[in-house]
Amino acid sequence: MKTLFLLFLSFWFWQNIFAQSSVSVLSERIANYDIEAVLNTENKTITAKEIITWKNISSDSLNEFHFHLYLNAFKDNKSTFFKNSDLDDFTDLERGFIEIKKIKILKKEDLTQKVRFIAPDDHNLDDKTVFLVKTNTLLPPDSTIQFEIEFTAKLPKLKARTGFAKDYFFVGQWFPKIGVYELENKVDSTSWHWNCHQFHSTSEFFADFGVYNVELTVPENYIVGATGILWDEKVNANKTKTMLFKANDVIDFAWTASPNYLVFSDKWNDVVIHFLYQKEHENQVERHVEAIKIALEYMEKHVGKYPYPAITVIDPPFFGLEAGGMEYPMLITVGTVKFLPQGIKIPELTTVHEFIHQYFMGILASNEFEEAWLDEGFTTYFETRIIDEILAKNGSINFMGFKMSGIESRRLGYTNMYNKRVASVWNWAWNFPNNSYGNLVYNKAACVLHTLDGILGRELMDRIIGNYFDKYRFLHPKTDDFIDLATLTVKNISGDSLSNEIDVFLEQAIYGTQICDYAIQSVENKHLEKGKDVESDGIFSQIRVQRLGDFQMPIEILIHFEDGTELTEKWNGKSSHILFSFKGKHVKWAKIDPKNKLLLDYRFENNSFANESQHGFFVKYAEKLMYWLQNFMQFLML
Amino acid sequence: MELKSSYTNGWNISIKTYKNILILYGINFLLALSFSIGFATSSSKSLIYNNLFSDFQFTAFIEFIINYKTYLSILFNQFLWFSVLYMLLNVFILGGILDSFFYKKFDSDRFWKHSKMFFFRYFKQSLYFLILNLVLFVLAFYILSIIFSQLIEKEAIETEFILPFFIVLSIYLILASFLYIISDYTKFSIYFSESNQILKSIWKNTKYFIKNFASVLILFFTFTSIIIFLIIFSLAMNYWINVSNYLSLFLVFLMHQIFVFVRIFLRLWFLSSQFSYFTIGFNKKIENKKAEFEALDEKAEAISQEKFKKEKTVIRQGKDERAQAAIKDINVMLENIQNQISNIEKEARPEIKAQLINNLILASQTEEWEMIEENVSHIKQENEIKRVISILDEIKQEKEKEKNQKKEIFQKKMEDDLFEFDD
Ligand SMILES: [Zn+2]
Repeated sequence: MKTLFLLFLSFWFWQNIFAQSSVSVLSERIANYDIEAVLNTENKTITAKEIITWKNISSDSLNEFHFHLYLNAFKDNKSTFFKNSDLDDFTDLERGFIEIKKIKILKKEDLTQKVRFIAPDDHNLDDKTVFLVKTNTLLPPDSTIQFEIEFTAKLPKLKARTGFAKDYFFVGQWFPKIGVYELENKVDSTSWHWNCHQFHSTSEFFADFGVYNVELTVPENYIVGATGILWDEKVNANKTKTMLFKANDVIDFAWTASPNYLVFSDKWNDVVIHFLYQKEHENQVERHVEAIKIALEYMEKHVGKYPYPAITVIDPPFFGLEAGGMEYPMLITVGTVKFLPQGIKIPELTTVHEFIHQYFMGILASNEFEEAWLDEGFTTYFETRIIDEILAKNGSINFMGFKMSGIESRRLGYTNMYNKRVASVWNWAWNFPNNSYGNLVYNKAACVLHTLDGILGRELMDRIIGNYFDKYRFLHPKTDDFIDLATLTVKNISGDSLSNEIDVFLEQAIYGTQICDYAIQSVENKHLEKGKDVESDGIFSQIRVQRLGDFQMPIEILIHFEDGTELTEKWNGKSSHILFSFKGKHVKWAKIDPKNKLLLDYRFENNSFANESQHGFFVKYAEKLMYWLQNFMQFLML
Repeated sequence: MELKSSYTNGWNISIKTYKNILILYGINFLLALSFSIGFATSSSKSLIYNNLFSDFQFTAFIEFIINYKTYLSILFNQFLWFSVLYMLLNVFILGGILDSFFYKKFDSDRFWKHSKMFFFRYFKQSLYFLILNLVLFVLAFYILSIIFSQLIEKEAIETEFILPFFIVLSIYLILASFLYIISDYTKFSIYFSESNQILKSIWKNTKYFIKNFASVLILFFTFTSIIIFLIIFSLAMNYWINVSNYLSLFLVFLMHQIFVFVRIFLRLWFLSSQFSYFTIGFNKKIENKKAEFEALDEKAEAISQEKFKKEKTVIRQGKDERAQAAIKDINVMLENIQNQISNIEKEARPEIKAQLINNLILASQTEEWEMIEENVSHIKQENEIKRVISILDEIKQEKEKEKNQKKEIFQKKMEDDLFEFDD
C-alpha cells in the first residue's frame, strides 16, 4: 500500500513536470507513435502493436507510403548493412529481423498483402530495410492517416548499436517507422518525395518529429530506461510489469532493459538526469553526471535551451559496450570501464558528445543519411570545446607524460588521412569511400568549424550557431541553410568582405575536397652594399610565403625582428606565393597564422621559419633517446 | 650466514673489481651516445618543435613523427641493433668479469683472455635463455588470450578479467625470475667447469636452484626490489623536474647518467653476491671431496704397493716375454699420473681441481693394473727380469718421490684457497 502510494506520488510528480514542459507544442508533430510492446527475454523478441498517426503536410495527395524496417539489416549477410560492415556472419540466435504480421489503415483497408520491399539506395533486392504500401484511397494534403501495425522484432546479438547481450537489452531502431515526405533538396524545389533510405553500416537516421506513447512490458525485475519520461507503471500477474513512457517532439524512441542496472538520479535546473549504470561502475558515476551537467550548462549558454524535461544516460556493461556511444532523443549511451584512470577522459568525452547530439541530431534533426556532418561535425566541434575549455583543460588524455587535447586528437584524424581528397564533408553517409566517413564527417567538419570560429571570433561564431539553432530547431535544416545564415549574420555584423570570405571558405571546406597548406619557404637576411641596384648599405630581408595546397583563404603572417619588434602582414592567400621584404631590419623568424586559428591547414611544421636553426627540441629528445636506450640495453643484459 | 656474507663478499668483490663497472658503464654510455649524437646535433628551421622543448605538445609531436618518418625508422632499427650489440659485448666480457670476481682483482690480461675463452660458451648460454624466455612469454600470452577469449565468449564484465590476468602475469613473472636466476648460476658453473655442455649445465643449475631455493630467491628479490625502487624513484624525478632550458636539461642528463651508473653497479653487486654464494657452497663441496680423495689415495697406494710386489715375483719367475710392454705401460701410467698431478697443481679453480682429482682417483681403480700383471707373466729372461725390476724400482721410487712432493704442494695450495674463500 505504502509503495503504491509512493508510486502514485512519483507519477504525480512526473505528470506535473511533463504537463509543464508540454504546454507548448515544439514541433510540427508529423509522425506520432503509440506502441505496446512485450519483451520476451528468453527468445530475445519483442511482440508489439503500433499505431502510426501521420500527417500529410505536403501539397500532394498521397496513396504511397514508405517505411523503415531497420532491424532487417541484421536479417542475413545479404543485407546492404551487412555487406558494408566488417561483422562476421551471424548465427541464428545472433540474427535480428522484424516481421510485419499485419498492417492496415486503422479500422479500414488491410495492407498486409501489399507490403513491397524496395532498395532506393543501392537496388539490393535482398535488402529488406525499406518497404512501401499503396493504399486504395488518396490522402489529401493537411489530413491525417493512421496505420495499425502488428509486428515481431527479433533482436540481434549486440554487435552494432542495438540488440541483446546475455540478459542485457539495448533496443533501438526496433519498430516500423514511417519515412519523411519532404520537398526535394534542390534550390526552390516544389516537388515532394519520400526520403526513406535503407539501413547502411555508416549512416544514421532521419525522421519526422512526433509524440511517442510507448508501453513496454518486461520482466518485473528489469530496470528500464527509455526516451521520454516514465508516465505510468503497473505490475502484472505473470511476474512482468508494464511501463508507459511518453515523449513529445522527438524523432525516435529507444529503450534499454536489464536486471543489473543501478539508477542514480539528479537534476540540473529543470532537467532531470537519470544515470542507469552497472554496479561495477559505481566509481564512474560522478564523472558522467558531472559531464552531463557541464554539457547542459555549456550548450544552454552557447547554443540554446534544452527543451526536454529529462535526459537519461545509459552505461552499458562491458560485454554490451557495442551499445555505447550512441545518441537517441532524450537518451544517450556512454561507455566506461571500472579501472579507467582519471587522466583518460573517455567517459566525459562520450557523455558530452552524445549529449550535444540532443541539439543537432535531436532538435535540429538534420538528415543524417544525407548530411551527417550537420550532426556529427557540429557535435564534435562542441565536444572539443567543452572538453578542452572546461572538462579536461589538461588534455582529454593526460597520462604518464602523454598529453592530447580533444581537438588535437580530432584534427589528427583528418590530417593523418591517407587521402584527404577522397570525398567532401558533404556527402551521403554510405558514399564515403575507404572508411573516410568518420574522419571527414566528424574530424574534418570539426576542424572546419574551429577554423571558422578562429576567423570570426568566438562571439560571432556563437551568435551564428545560436541563430541557426533558434531558427531551425525542429525543422531539419540543410547545409545551405547553415551557410546562408552564417554569411548573412556575418554580413550584418561585419560587412560584405568577411561575409564573402566566409562563403568562399565554407564552399571549399564543406563541398570541396581541396586541402589547405600554407608554408613559409624562406627567411633571408642579406647585407648589401651600395651599388648599381642598391640605394644604400644595409640589411635587406625577405620572407617567401607559399600556398602549397589548393585551398585558398586569407592568412596572417607574424614577423619577428631581431630587435624584438613584431609586425603582422595579411595575405589573401590566392596566388601561389608572396614575398615580404624589409629594409634595415633583421628578421629573426616568421610565422603563418600566429594564433593557430587555421586548424584546416594540415601541416603546421612549415607554418614557421626561423633564421637560425632551432636545436632545443633535438637536444632534449636526444637525451631522452639516449636514456631510453641505456635503460633498455641494461634491461636486456646481465 | 652464508647468505649474509654473500652480500658483503659481493660488495667487496664489486668494489675491488670496480673496473668492471667502468667498462660496462663505458660501453653502455658510448653506445647510447653514438646512437643519439646524430639526433642531438639535428636542427630545424621550424619553430613548432620548440613547443616540445618547454613542454609536451601532441600536435608538434605528430608533426615531428610525420616529417621525420624515415629518420625515425632508421633510428628505431639502430635502437635494436645497438641493443643487440650491447648484448653481445656483455656476453663477451662475462668470462672476464667472472674471472675477476674469482680472483677478487681486476687484471686486464686475464680479463681479456677469459673473455675470449668463454665467449662462445656464454653466447650459447644466452641464446638458450633467450629462447626459453621467448617460449615462456609466448606461452603466457597464449594462455592469457585463451582465457580472455573464453571470458569474452561468456560475456564477462571487465572486473572478471582482472583476476586471471594477474594470476597469469604473476606466474609469468615468477617463472621469468626463476629463469633469470638459473641463468646467472649457470654462468658461474660454466666458468668453474669450463664445460661446453651448456644444456647439461642449465639442468645442473636448475637442480642447484631448487636445492638452494630460498637463499637464491632472497638474493634475487633483494636486488630486484632495490632496482625497482630505483626505477620508480627516477620516474618520479622525471615527473618532478620540468625540462624547460638547457640548464635543467643538463641536470636531468646528469641525473640519468647517475641512475644508469647505479643500475649497472647494482647489477654487478648482485652478480658478485650470487657468485660469492655459489663459491661458498662450492668450497664446501671441495672440502668433502678432499677427504674422500685422501682416503681413496691411500687405498690406491696400498693396492699399487701390493701389485708391484706381485709383479716383481712374476717377473722373477722368468716370464718376461712382454716385460718391455709392461714396463712401457707402467711408465706411461706413471707419467700420466705425474701429468695429472702437475695439472692439478696448476689449476686454480676449485671445480676443475676437484674434477682432476676425481679423474686421478678413478684411474687408480681401473683394471689396467691387472692387465700389467698378466703381461708381466710372459717375461722369461732372468737377467732381463732383474734389469727390468731394478728399472722399475728406480722409476717407481723416483715417481713416488715426485708424486709425494707434488701432493704436498697441492694440498697446501688447496688449503690456502679454501681459507681465502672464507674471509
Ligand atoms: Zn556522434
